[in-house]
Amino acid sequence: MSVMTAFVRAALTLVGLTVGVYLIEVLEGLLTLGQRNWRAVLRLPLARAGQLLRQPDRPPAHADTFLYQSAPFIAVITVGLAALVIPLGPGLIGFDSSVGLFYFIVLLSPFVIAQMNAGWSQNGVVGVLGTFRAAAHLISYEVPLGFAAIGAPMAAASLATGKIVAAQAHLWYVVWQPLGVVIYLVAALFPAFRHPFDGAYAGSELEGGVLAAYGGARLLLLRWALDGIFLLLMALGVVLFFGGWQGPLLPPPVWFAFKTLALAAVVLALSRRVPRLRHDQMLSLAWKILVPASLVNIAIVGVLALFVFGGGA
Amino acid sequence: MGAHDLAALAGQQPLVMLVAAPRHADCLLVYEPLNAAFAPAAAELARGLPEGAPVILYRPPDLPALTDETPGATVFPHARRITACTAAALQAAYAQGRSDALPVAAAFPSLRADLVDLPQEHELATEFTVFSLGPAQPFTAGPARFWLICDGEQVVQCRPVMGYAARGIAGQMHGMAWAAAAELAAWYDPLAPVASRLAFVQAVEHLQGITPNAASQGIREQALAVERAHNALWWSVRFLRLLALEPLARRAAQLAMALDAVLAGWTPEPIAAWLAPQRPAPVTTPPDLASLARAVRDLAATVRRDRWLHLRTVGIGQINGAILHSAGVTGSALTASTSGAGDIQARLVARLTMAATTLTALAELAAAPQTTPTVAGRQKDQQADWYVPAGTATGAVAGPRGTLAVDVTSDGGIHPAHVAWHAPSAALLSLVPALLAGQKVADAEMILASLDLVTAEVDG
Repeated sequence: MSVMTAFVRAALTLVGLTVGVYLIEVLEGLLTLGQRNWRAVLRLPLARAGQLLRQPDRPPAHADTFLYQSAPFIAVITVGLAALVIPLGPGLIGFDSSVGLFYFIVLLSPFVIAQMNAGWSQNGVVGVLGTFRAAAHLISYEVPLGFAAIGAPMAAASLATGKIVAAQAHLWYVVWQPLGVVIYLVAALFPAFRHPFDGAYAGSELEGGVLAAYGGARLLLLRWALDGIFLLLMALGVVLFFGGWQGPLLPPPVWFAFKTLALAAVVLALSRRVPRLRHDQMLSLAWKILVPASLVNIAIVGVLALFVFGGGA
Repeated sequence: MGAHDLAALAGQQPLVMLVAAPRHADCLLVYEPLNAAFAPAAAELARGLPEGAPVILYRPPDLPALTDETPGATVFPHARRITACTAAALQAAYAQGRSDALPVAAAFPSLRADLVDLPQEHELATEFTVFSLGPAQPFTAGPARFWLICDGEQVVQCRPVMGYAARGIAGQMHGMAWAAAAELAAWYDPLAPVASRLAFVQAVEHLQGITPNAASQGIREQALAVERAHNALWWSVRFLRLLALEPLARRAAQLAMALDAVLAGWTPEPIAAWLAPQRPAPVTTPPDLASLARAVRDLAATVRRDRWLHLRTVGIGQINGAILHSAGVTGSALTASTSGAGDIQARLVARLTMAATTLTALAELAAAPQTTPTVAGRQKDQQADWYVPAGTATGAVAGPRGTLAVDVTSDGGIHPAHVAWHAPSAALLSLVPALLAGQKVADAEMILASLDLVTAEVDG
């Protein structure tokens, strides 16, 4: 791949992600403010971005300058790299790796670590508490998310995201892996720091937690990355369980975008009905419920893949 | 009043929302009065704003001048002032553009760094974190600071610091004429002006040896009941938002605003005009609140049945009814412990149930025949009598947070000789250190919010 091709792909990925992030903000706005305020909802993300871009960046006193300044960029770069393995259509993929799913899940860790850096670098109590809560996220999501996602490659006999989608040509995995879908979607909210697992940001209690000291363009980058990783996790959910780009009549990328946004809307709407969980409750949920359930899911998927679908659905 | 206004503001307009950190705000709304203790904290908050973000001042129009007040304009000389606390006024003030001047007066001192002594047995420990909740925070109505000494996320000790909302109301009443003192009494609990004023008026009537007739007393009780329901609903909005249960918070806000709309034209004259000694209440027809009462009851049932809320809050902030009783706590907080589990969810359910019951009772009253209210045979148009014989009497009413009482001493002169208030929030506040010790930081805010503390009541 030439340098120019790589550059164009990176630029397209960032533009696509930015459009997706805008749509996630619009979805959240519609859920919060209601449909009758749709005009304001469409304008708000742009107004907020413009407002933040006009603000000068002012690091807190005694901040760890390198960590403070680099954390938003680490988060954004991680999101951009993770987006490369999401297939929007047949052959429409930034990086068609044979271990695409593994690559994606590994990249979630630096994203969470970027959030921890953001909190730690502020040299303040709320930032440190936010950092520790982010660390609790890191050890909460990895195992259940990985175990829930593994059902799809077990059935498709491949870790390549494109092949996982192609293997669902006749039957989406959501039909016979419903437990895996539920576990995946719950665990996906952890690394995205979405409600009800947003303790690291924690509203008024931690005054914004890891984001408390950030303002201006860096805050915009961090918020972009948070929405971006959520969008990607929903997109990966579509790849793993909902047949990816596949659908009648419409072009594959349109189907893919539609399914991703629909899944994001459902998850956002359902998650709003649950109060914010405490970090220890989050850990209990992850290790006492999601991990055992994901092991059960692996066993069920293994039996079905081997005996019902003949070693690969 | 500020707490309800802010809760309403955030739900009125999509462009107005509350943020947790000053760095994330587009403007700072300062709700006066400020006192000498809180002004430095408010100034520090303004210094944390992004550059160009304006400070906007609001002072309730009927708030009398207070002796212990620090004028907002001296702290924020370039602040914009709004005359109504509405989203439109706020937006208009914000739309004047960036504020290039420094938000705080140059001569105004920086906030002194508070040093907190660790508990003696832990003074050599290095792993403790001292964490300040407040003083500007959303979980009490009005400013208060709670120092949390934490071992990780575990609260080892809590030290409340009050005084940020002190206005010297009782002291100021001593030197005022009786009628002016009654005006000021209404500001004792700004969220419950009817309860505050009625307690004072009752004490005065006791000194005068007067008892209002049943109809007049009934209308006073209705006004009190409405205030209790109103407070419970707006408190639910604030509390549910803190729990991050946005759909339920939005429903509660709709009901609170519906109650505001129904009550807008309830009495032909403002309550302050007829809530005076020996002044009969006006003839009113209670508003039709039947459908609103049903909706509030449904909301209470939804909260009671919410399994997620139960799992999140079960056993958190639990207080034994006997402890509450011995501390002198009354009202819904006590009901939640005597009739329920006494935890966060129980307090929420108890307050919503109280609001629903109150509204149902008012709706039933609407159907009953009305009688003419009199006080000691006096008719509606007669003026209040402010001659108060010497003596001491207590007025006590069932306010939104429990029994609000005031002791009034008269020497037969033109102003009260002594006034002492007994606030329900003060009784609850005394339990906070024991309640928070051993809890998690993530729960501290919820527990405090569930108690519905009004700092103005405590500070006076």
